[in-house]
Amino acid sequence: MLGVEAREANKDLNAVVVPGFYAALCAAENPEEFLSIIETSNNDTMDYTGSKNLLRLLVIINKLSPDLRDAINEKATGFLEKRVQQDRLEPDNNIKQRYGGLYRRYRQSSPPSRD
Amino acid sequence: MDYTGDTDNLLHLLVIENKLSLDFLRGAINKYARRILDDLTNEVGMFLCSEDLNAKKQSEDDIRTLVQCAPTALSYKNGCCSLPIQYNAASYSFNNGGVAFLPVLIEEGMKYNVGGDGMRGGLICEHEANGTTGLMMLSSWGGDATCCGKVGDLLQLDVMKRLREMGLFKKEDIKEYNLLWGDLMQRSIQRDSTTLRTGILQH
Repeated sequence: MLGVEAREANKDLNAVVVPGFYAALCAAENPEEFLSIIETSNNDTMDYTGSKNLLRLLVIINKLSPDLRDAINEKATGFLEKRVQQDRLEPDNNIKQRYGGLYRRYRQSSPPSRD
Repeated sequence: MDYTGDTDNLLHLLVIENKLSLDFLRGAINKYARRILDDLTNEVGMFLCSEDLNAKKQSEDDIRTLVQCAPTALSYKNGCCSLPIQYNAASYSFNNGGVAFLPVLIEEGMKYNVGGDGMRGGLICEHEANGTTGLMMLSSWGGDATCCGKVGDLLQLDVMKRLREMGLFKKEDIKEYNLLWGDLMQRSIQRDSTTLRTGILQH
């Protein structure tokens, strides 16, 4: 189950290097564990309106003008590049600190397959 | 431009965002998303002050979504110092029916206090360059342009009726903002058929 769900999600993320996501994948002992992590993550206690609003905007993007679409696309590119850049530049210690226990297993594991 | 690239990747990422279990990761995505939306203020503002705002292409819900995502765009001023609300109240917005979005823009504008306190979301905010208000433009800058089978005057009348229902167009406004004078002085052919005049007088 993990293989199917996670790899499908991972395909979508191919252009985005998100170590946290990979760390969660690698840290999972088995497919069920990973799925349970995902399934229990929908009780939002924090405010994620930025993500939600951006998603709403992208849903209507085709109805907007070419100029506005270009601007959004440009910022999307910046978003993904910044994310990648930040993750590449981040000192190893910071990653270790942030990921805690997950980090050790992440380092011991090979990255998940992208096929 | 190819939108199957980065925008599409970002869309995929946001679709699965709430399934990512790590708060710091979701927090980072949320932070960047907010930044993107903040950075779009000018572009969205320009869009709202242009003929790209088109009643044939976008629905009220689309425009509501857009301004809720980038609310600061409602306070954007174009090269003529017009707020989106003022731009769309004026006759040059009639070609594509931009005036029809006025109630949505005002409704959202009220949430963000566009134009300041008591400005009804920017509707009665004075234009920086000419001192007129969106309400005055709406009642006096008639045109013969047609959109969605209606001439400019009828589009205006529909909007004024809706504003009246929303409690944003008051009886005393007619006198306070000299709306009748503005209505009668214009040259639009529809004024002769008493459409708009009747509408205003009825209210």
